[in-house]
Amino acid sequence: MTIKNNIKNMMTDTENMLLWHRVNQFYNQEARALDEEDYATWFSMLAEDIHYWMPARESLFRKDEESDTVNKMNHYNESLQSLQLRVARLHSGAAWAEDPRTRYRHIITNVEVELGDEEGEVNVRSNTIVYRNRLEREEYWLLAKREDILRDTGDSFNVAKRKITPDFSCLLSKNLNVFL
Amino acid sequence: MSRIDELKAMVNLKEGRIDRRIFWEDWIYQLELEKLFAKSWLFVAHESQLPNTGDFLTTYMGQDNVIVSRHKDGKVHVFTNSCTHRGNRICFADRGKARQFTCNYHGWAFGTNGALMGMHEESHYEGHINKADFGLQNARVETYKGLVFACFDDEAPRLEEFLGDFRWYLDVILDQTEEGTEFIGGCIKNMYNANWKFGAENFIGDSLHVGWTHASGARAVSKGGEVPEYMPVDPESFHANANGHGWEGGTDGVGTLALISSGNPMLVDYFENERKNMAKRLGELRARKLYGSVISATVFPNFSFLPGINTMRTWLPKGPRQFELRAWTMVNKNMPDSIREIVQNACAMTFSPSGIFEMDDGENWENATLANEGVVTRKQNLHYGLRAGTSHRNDPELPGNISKPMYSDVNQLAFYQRWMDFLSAESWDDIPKVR
Repeated sequence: MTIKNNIKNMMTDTENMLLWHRVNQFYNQEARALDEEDYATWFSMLAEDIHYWMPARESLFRKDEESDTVNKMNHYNESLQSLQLRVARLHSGAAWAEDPRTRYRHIITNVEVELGDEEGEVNVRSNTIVYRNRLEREEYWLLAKREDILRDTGDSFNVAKRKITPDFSCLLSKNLNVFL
Repeated sequence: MSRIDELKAMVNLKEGRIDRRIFWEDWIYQLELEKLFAKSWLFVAHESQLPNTGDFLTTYMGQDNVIVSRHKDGKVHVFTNSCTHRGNRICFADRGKARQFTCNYHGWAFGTNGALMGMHEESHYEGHINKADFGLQNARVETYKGLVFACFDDEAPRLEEFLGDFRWYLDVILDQTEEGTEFIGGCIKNMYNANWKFGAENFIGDSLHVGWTHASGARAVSKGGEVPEYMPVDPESFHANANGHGWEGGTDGVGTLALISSGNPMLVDYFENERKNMAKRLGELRARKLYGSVISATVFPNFSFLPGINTMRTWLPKGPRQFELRAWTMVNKNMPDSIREIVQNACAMTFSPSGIFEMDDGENWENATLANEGVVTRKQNLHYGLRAGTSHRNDPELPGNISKPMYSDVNQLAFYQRWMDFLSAESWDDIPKVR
């Protein structure tokens, strides 16, 4: 029996599986680029008009919960140009706090795909676990939800929108020297 | 030797030497909580965070968690966030709206002014409690141009006196316009494994770390081109301090604006235009030479800010080797949305946990703290002697104690002098009203 869990998208299960596989391949490549600080590759995976957004979260009573908006404090609210500016710091030869390097590990999981509103766009939700280890015993874990809009480029994708919803309200480390 | 005498020997103001134990020892940290944080005025909120009756937020005064709330009398009240029955925390949200605060444990309910209103199954208590005796502990509350401060000591002077001459400097960011300022919503919080004083002293006067620690950020902003001199060796640049509060920076009027306007010339145009109005309120010196320069400042003991970049932050102590930083971006209420957005993004890009400048600070503060685990290491005093003893109080234009140029430890030493004033005092009677 075929379970049509993607009726809205009019995708067959086979099409869905193929899309899911391609998206996973893309995310694995992206994770590797970030782990290896290969930002040239990472930037090539982002759309020219990307909006890369990570709002700061607060602990609010359920009745007071608000929807996220870029008009409140953000960890990231970036264009491709501003992401490049951030990376330029690392490549400046003077980022003392990154020498020796941070050991990064990006794990991408719980990937769900559906066709987007625009032709060639895919809406993807995923979870990410980012591990950082530095120097002798510094160790930090970050977990977050990612909501992406990917654009199909034929042989691959690029990221047109990414909203990162972190599971921390107070970041438990001295900095956020990583992209998720 | 008494503990206080031992402590007094740890700060040598004349030569500028500091004993590393003040960043490490538990007994000194406990003294800080008792004699400094429980006695001093402390920043708790901006009025814009509490516009309406019932609006509240929670924060810390020292390690005392407090509720800051707008009561129906229109005033902001600040009181301890711990039930007077079994001590449980009452409010668990960072902020929100409340008619009252009810403890989860036995349903004791407190008003938005901290008064005990009633409890679950109240009839059992008839004749056993005088509710007026069991309200939450209120702090004194005063505001200065939008900033709300609180103080747990009845003997402390008024806030205006506590801020003293430093108000002239605070006005540079708080009083640019008739409409005043507001905080952008939300808050960024993060932890450092470092002593809280490293944040406070860095912002009060550490001009010399800027060009070195932040070289990577400066090179990034210059986009591979020549790094402009954001902080040129300016003989008119200065350290100013008053009552332990301090301001350090240049007088070129453009360094910070260059930094935050990277790629946004409209921001420079906006502020150049705004300077005319600013000058009417603040005078030419503050409107044209101070505002826009690279400047950093600390309101003693633990509230810091960067004029222009407009990060406002408080270093909340969590033990001698840990603090939590809470940070907001402040804007003028009359800023158009387009300018507000640029300021907000520039602040996140430069001074936030992901910021290209701030990222390098935490590394320094953590390791300056944690190196002191070594008993031999800990015994070597630190050098705070650059231009020690050079400040004077008779500058024709600048209030407070002034030392020029800004490359010095003058403000840092003034901070530690004030710190010692508090820690060695029995009460406010022993603390000089003016420093």
